[in-house]
Amino acid sequence: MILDDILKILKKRLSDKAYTLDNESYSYKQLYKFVCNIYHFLLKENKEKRPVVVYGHKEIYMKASFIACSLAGMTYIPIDESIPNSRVEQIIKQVNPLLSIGKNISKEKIYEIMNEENYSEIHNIYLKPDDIYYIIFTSGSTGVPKGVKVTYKNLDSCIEWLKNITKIDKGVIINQANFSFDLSVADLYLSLVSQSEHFIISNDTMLDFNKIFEQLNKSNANFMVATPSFVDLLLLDKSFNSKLMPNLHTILFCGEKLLKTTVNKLYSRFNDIKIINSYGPTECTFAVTSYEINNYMDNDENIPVGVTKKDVNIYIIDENRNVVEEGKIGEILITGESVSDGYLGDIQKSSFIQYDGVKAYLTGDLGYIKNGVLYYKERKDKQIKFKGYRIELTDIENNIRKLNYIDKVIAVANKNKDNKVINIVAFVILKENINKSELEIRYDLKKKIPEYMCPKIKIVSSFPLNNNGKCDEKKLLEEF
Amino acid sequence: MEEKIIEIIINLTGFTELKENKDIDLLENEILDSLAFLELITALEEKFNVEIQPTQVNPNIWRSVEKIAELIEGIK
Repeated sequence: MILDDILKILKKRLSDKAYTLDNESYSYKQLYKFVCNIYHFLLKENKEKRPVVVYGHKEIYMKASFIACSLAGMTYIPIDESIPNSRVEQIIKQVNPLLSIGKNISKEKIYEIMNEENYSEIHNIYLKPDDIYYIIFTSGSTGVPKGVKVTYKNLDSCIEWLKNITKIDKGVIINQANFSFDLSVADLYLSLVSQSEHFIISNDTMLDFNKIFEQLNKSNANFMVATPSFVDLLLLDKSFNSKLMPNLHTILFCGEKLLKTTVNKLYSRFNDIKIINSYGPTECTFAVTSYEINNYMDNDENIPVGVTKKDVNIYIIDENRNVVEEGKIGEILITGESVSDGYLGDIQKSSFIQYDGVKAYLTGDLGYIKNGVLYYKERKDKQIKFKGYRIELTDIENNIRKLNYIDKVIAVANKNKDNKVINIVAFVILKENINKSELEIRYDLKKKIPEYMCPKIKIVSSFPLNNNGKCDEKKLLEEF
Repeated sequence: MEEKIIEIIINLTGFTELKENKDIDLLENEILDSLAFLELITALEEKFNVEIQPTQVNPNIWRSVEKIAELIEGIK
């Protein structure tokens, strides 16, 4: 399984680059030392093998800790620094870890531990196939984040599949997403099993085009894992082309709907590029379908999300959970090796069901199958995708309600003509005699939810109602 | 020019306070995030028939309406 492969590669102690962040690179040899030191520290200090929180922003200790936890038989929980403290606390409360690297084991301490020159080797891999490999927290509709438990078997199946569809070997892989977003799982592990360099774009370079472009050029990357939103941003500048990245041969997209305009712009800038679109919820381990594009797309059809990996089945079902006719729209149901172990605690278990005698996940996504290929349509509930992140609008609403001066709130996604969310607007009604500006409310809210979830705030005096007596969201947006 | 830019930004972000206070720092106050930025550049290119290369632009320009207006004037 992948941990055997990873350990084998690490033990070669190659001087090849394994990880590059902000102009600093670490070799496979160094990475092995870091992993060994953390592994032995964990075995000594966390004898009960309780889950380990790993907190920070893309620093090398994060990746080294992930590998060390897994080899030592411990589940890890990645938390990015951009997540506000109150939300981090909610996560830590649910996990109840003994060790939180980057928190109760400070960054200084972990660097000291991992840099120890006299280190013992790793001889045993403690994680078993059914053990939980990682828990990634996503937006929960109640306002409290929910943890998805992904097993070693789930991840192993995912990475084997990605290896087959991407065929990357000893390359350079660009990372865009932070590690608490499961998009990063693809580049974290593909880079290791393919003995590639993992080239990290850190958050603070994100809006500085000169810095990002300089990094992209320096990377000499041939492979990139990205959300369509990120690539759209890069495409704004004409110099994002094969001159800037002469070796780029594959982009793996996941996280949100890929549009034809993005694909066609890419082909006008890069002559010989392979684009892979993919689809899957965090609950089904990164992704379960893929679709390879090798040229301009000129027909009117949507871009498919593709064909399923071979150990997974997808069914399109109606409200009574009967399979619908081919071409008809229904809810996407997933069974097979990618379906994770459910949520931490006992929240919303209703989406994990038994179907035809096997474990299945009801995605809440609507889609259809045509000629054996899956197409994604839209959500059936108030969950949205924004900048590739998955967000429950009710999560935002519930957190705004916690501000004691708010009377009523409704969060609405504002979409452009391609049905892509361009911003989220929260319409609020303040309690009587409260004087707060929209910016002040946003500032208060930022202490509760991550920045990417923070909506634009619009103070209104009442909500317009539609014929059914419900709040008319369309009308609200029009007035906005 | 500035009024047209203000109108575009309000359309994208819903930040109506910009009308009264056009000197507000668009980045500091997170009025422009990466997605609004993407839409803003596309809108400016369409409205003023110019081509904007973000790598050729000092990132601080995106802080104020006045500087954005100067940038467009310069390209035109």
